[in-house]
Amino acid sequence: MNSRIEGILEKIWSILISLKLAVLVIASLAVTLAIATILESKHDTRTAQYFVYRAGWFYVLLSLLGLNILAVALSRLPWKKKHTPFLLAHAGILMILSGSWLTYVNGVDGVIRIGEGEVNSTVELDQFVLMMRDGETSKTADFPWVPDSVARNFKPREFPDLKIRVEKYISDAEPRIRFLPSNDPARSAPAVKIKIIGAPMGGAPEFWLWSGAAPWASQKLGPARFLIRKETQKDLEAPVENGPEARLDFVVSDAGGLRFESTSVRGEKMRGAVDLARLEQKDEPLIIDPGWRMPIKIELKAFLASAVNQTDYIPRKVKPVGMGTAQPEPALQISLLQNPDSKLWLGLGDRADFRDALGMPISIGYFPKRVILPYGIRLKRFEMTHNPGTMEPASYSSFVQVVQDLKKSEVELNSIPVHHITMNEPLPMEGYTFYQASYIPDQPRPTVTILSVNHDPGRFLKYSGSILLILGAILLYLAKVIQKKKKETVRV
Amino acid sequence: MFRRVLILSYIFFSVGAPDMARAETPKPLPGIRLNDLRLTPTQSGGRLKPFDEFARENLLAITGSRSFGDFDPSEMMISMMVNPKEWSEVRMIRISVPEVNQQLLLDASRKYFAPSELLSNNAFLQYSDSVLSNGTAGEQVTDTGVNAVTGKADPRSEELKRVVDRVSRFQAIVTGRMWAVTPAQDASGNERWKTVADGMMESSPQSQAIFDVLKNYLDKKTDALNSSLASARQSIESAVKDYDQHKNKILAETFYNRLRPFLQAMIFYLIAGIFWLFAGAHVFPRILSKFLTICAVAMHALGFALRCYVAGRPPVTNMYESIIWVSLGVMVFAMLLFLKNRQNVLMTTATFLAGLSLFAADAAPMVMDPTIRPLVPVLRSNYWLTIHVLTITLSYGAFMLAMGIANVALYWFYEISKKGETRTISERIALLNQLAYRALMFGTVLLAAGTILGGVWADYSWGRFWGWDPKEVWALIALLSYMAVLHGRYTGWVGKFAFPLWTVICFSTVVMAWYGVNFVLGVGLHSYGFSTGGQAFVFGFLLLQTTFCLWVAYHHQKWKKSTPAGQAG
Repeated sequence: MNSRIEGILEKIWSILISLKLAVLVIASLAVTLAIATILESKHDTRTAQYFVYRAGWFYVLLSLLGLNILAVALSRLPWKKKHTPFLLAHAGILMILSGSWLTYVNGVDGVIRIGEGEVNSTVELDQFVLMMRDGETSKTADFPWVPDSVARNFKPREFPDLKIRVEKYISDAEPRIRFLPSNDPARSAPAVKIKIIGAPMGGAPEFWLWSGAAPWASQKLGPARFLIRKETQKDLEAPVENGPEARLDFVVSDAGGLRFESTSVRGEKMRGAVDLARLEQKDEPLIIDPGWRMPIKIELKAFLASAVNQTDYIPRKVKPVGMGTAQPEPALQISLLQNPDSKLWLGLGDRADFRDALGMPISIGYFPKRVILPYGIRLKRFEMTHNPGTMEPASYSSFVQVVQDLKKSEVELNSIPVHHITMNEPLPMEGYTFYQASYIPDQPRPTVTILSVNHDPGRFLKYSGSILLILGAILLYLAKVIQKKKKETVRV
Repeated sequence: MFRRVLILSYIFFSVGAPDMARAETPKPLPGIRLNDLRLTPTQSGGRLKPFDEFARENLLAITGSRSFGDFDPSEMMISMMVNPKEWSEVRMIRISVPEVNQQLLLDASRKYFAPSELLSNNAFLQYSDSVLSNGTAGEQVTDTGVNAVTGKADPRSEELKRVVDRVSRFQAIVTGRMWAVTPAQDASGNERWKTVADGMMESSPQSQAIFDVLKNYLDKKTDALNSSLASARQSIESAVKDYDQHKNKILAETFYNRLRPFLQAMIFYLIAGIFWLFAGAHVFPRILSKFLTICAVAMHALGFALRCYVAGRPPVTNMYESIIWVSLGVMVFAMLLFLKNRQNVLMTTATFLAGLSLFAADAAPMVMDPTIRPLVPVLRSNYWLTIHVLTITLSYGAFMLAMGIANVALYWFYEISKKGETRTISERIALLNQLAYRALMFGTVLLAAGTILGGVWADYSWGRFWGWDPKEVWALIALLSYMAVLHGRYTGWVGKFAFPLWTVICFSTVVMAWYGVNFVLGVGLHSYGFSTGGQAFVFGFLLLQTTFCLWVAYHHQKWKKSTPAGQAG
């Protein structure tokens, strides 16, 4: 029995110290990485990060390489002088690998946005969480959500009564607002969709009017104002801005009927009922003539007596053009298992209210993971220079202060020493390092800086490993040349 | 808005130009002394440069080629300002993507169009409206115009943008809105020169001097023209603050442009390569080949030094510059190895590689922009940039040399499969493998060091040592591939045939790291190098290389089967 185990161990050992394993691992790493870059090109950086660079199996592959190197080095025991270059180079690789592991586990790599005169201490990481908050007890919990758990249920441990399911995920999404019929008295309100025909600018704008929780909603277009209200809401003295205006009110009765009331610029009033049956039939467009002097007609496209608004997300069609600041904005659709109809979209930064199995209110948000710094960073000034004669930025830099006590007055704040962070000139501060990464473009000049914030516990290992690796590689090369020379002299 | 400007300026010139009746292609004026004009300083593209360079850039941007008829680029600019009507009838705006012709309903069989043709094309005017509504003419899309966020470029819309830029550039030149002549500062204290047109309204002495030049050129008064050119140069030079500091750079850049050192080096390399082929047999080619190689390397190094001096930094920030550096690297490694091994085949391979690389860099100025541009902010830490990029690209040179030598080795394997194995050929192959191995060793050490230095730089300026950015990942893939080959030699998997074969195949990972990440993948942090074009050329090279490898492998395999075991290698 013992000898069998020994045999197996020996077999494993002989595989571990074999060069063939090294070649196989190296080659498969190369292929994996090539695939990952193609994945990144086809999708985006986060996808590649998630499925390859931060995936467990990738770390297993890297560890296998490390294990192989370690085993090979140990198999050469006892080490002799001639082994030095080999040992240096391979110890270097091991140190770089373990340094990377430390960074992966304990490192922080995020961004902080600060406007001029503001103080911020929240670092946003490029990882996203579902942030849950119990409406009753204010208990909160973060749940890391990752792209591959689509259509999988999960139960946050802190919220035993909650079962969530992510239905869909879009890595780069844009919002689209829709209105749906609903009977929820708390949130619903009447909605109309209208199209302006004959507008002087030549376009034919089409939009929804929906008041939500407010008693009425209005939309102003040029000299005309469009308004929706319930019948119970008596004639409104709508605020008059910039002189006289024409007005068109859509008035919804309790029974769900619709009529319109129009007022021209000169105060001439007109009213009429809307034949909703014709709207249903859709044979011909339902046109309303408000009787204004302007040659404008209004087409009623849709009417919902009781509607809620809903923000959906669709994959972004047009990529924004600009500086490299615009990261893809993910969105996901979640539902509660108790109530499968309650599908809801959450864009990054959105928060929505749900009820759990016991009917308790719970709010769920989709946010970047955050790290709070033990101090605040205040941006005193953001500066930017251009290449002579162009608008291309030549350099940008932030003048910041480190604020330990947030309750300081303006005068006290101004006495704190100012640090200058610019491209390639970072600011190290209590374990974190701040780099000038980017800014939010604005006119006449940008005032919001984006600093990247970094905390890297593996730095020392990576640097010393690098030095050993390069030293070892050079020595290996020299050893080869010397060996060759010796052989040649022997031959001669 | 832009459309209105275009049409206005067009109408202005069609009515106001003195001899609108005959629209012939303008001819250069004989007897004009161009030196003063060429050396006149101007501000463009974010730096001070000689008018010669300004003119060359515009010529290249508008026509897509380096020369136009008998015109010197500088004179051509003057001629365009003097005879806008004639020039707008000249078919010189290049459209190189056929889909653009289709979209603009233009003659599909032509590549060059006159500005007037495009300016009377409604589809074009509509498009240029939308492109230029958020930028100024000649400034916004001068570079590649690749979407900064996605990095992806759609060839048709990119080309359309460039065509708009070409036309608006033409417009800006003929209306005097392109040529900056009066040193001045803008409201925020940035150095922003006033153009000829600006200066006309404010009656600046520089604009006045240029106006004299134009007038004399129009009247074809050669003597008066020459003296007005000299006084215009004098007038502008005296207005530049601390001109003495810039004077030598202006001289150097003009000299660099006139000399075209890399073109010369290329010709020397290719001729030297031919002589190296026969250097073994005769004394005459042996001496000549060495002499020509020295000339070529000297010219190459001179060009490199001049470019460093003019740009104030090592030229390694775009494809054009890196090809120049890599081919110099190939020569340096080859000469180092040659000092020890005295193998002519080494120099033949190296000179051809260097010559062909320089040819590729020179042949496609629209793909590989030869213009010296200011660096983007993130690259302005010269010290680390220099070390990191020079080391990495130098390793590409070593790998390229190894690839060349390995190809020769593969050729001899083909010979074996045809004519049988002889001692001479086997020894030759062993030697070639040895040389390729040496070059690989150079390459891997440099690539490892360069990649790590890149990490150091990234850590220093971005705060992350390693971020799995595609450019660094591909450098790592190249390193891993060569590592697999080098380690594979000890496992017995990579023998004396497989070694050159894999050396050649692995070079495609270098091509990917060097070219592919910026031109094909187009993602990641190294976005300042992104561009488009040249795909056909690069894929053609890779295809040719793969075909050659497969072909040799097939013949080698066949020969091995037909040869009794023990003799085959």
